Amino acid sequence: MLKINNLHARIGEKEILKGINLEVKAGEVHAIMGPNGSGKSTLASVLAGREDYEVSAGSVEFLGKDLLELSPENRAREGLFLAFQYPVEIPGVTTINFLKTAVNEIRKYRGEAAMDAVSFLKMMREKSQLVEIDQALLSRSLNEGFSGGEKKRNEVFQMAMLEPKLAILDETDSGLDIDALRIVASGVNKLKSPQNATIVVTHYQRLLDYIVPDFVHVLWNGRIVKSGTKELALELEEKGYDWIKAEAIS
Amino acid sequence: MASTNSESLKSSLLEQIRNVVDFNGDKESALTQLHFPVKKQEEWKYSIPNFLADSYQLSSLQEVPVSSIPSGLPSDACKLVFVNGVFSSELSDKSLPSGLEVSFCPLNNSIKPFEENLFGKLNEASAEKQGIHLHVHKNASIEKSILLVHIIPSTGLSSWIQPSISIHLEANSSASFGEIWEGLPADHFVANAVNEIRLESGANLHWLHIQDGTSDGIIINQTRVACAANSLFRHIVLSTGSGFVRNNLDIHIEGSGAHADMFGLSLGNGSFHCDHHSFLHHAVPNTTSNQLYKGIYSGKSTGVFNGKILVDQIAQKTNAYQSGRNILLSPDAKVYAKPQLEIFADDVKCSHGATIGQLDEEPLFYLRSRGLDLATARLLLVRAFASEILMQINSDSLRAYAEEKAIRQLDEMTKS
Repeated sequence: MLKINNLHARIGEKEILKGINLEVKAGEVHAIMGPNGSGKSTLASVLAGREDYEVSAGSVEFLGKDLLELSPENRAREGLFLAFQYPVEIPGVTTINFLKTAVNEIRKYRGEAAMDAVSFLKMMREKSQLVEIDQALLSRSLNEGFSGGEKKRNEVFQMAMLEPKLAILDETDSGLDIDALRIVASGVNKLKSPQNATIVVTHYQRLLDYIVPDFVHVLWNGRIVKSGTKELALELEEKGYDWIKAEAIS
Repeated sequence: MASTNSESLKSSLLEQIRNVVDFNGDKESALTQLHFPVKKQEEWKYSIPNFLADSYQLSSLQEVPVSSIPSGLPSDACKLVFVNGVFSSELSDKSLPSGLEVSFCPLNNSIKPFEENLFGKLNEASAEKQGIHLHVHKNASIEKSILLVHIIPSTGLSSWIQPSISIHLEANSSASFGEIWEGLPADHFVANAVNEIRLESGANLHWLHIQDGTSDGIIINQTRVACAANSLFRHIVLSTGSGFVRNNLDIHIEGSGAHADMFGLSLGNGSFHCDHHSFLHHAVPNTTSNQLYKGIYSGKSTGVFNGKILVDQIAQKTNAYQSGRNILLSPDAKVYAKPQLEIFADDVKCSHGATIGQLDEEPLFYLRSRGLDLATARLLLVRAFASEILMQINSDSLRAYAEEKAIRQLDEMTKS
């Protein structure tokens, strides 16, 4: 589904990604871990098409297409979804309002007919139950005055509505208490299927108790320096990142 | 334009006014001392003063046939129609809501303008002939919105028109007015309008001003308001188009417990120039005011916001807030903001501020990452920005009318 080959990216003069290689197949859950500043969020942003970053080398293939050639909106329409680490607040735009536009723009891109209001509302009701989000929140200005947990739940709700093939969760656990974390994780798990894949970007192992990864990768200094199974995450939790750094240098 | 030309324009206009109205000596001498504004005047420095043509036809005094009024006006409102600034009883609704009276009557100029200028004095000179007075009776609560619909028929000449309207709300009355300038001619024109509004104690007035579709025209609008104790005045202005607009809005809060709201939404495209000068005077203790002017500018349009709040020494316990927020959509659009506070009392809460920026990248990226294309994302964000002002309009039909105009303009602006 996703093939990242020798990806380099910079912001201004500063190179942050220094040759990432990663392959994700349908049905898999990959966790990307690493200390602060290792490039985890940059990788998520580059994949979603944030324009602050310049890709200086390498390639990314997504479902057979050159992902880096696509605009952010076309990446979304092809089936990529980024759950933001810091979801933005947009006063005056309700979640329902913009999601209706989003769902229909994606359908149009795929050559499907627009969804009528009744079907849309029905889908919204189902998905909001799935991720346990209060429907009243969805008629309010997007994320305005939402708690940290409500914002992250809204991200997972949008993911449920847009039905992506590849979801990237960028530090979805940050700022969440354990109950909120459990609800968010259970939403993500319910959306899992053999046809889609998930990349979980996180600093802590905690989230991986709830979203169990097939593979764990450790990112440090712009490169994946170690890959393994979920046991690697437990080892990191126990020993910290220093031994990985030492191993990488030697 | 050279000053000799503006002097000859002034003489020509005066001569045309003199043909139909007698001046007394006072008016004559006030006019001799005033001149058309020049760039070095502080109040006009951002509003290019060389916009006037060499000569105009004072069109108020011409017979002009008009067959119809603009379509699409809210049908549940009472319409009073002004052709070239002159009240047309023929085109206006025949039956008035109870509690409202319309009469011919010159402005009495009892509210002194913050900025004494030649435009105001010229208007005053012809007001005697064509001034209209709207009177709302004590305790009357007028449900229907009252629309003042201004029409300028196309004549192929440069018209100069001068509507003079005074409004008086007696104690504890309430009304909602819409001052509508739209469907204006493609010819160059000057609309030099003066409104004088007086609210007696406990009166409640909602005023929506829509300036739409100016092509090559100049609108100079001076609205002066006096608010007595416990009265409530709300002014909302929506300015769109591609011509030149200068609004002087003066509000004097003269009675305790009174409150004034001033809201503005300016949507500039092409070479639109929109200048809001607001002057808010808190003259007595225990009064409040709130101002929010928003602007979105694209193309080569220019916005000016010059807002002054004056709090007199005796006006303790004043709460006055003022804010100007602007978005520039193109590199050639400009905004000049000059908020000013002049406070002589010591127990007050006042604040002011102005922001000028571009559409934020982060919300744009967020919406695009959900599958919205750039144009749709921009449109959604500018509509949301504008809606904060439009939602202040209390009449459903007037709000829908204003929203339709705003959305049409925003569509045009975000396309480019």
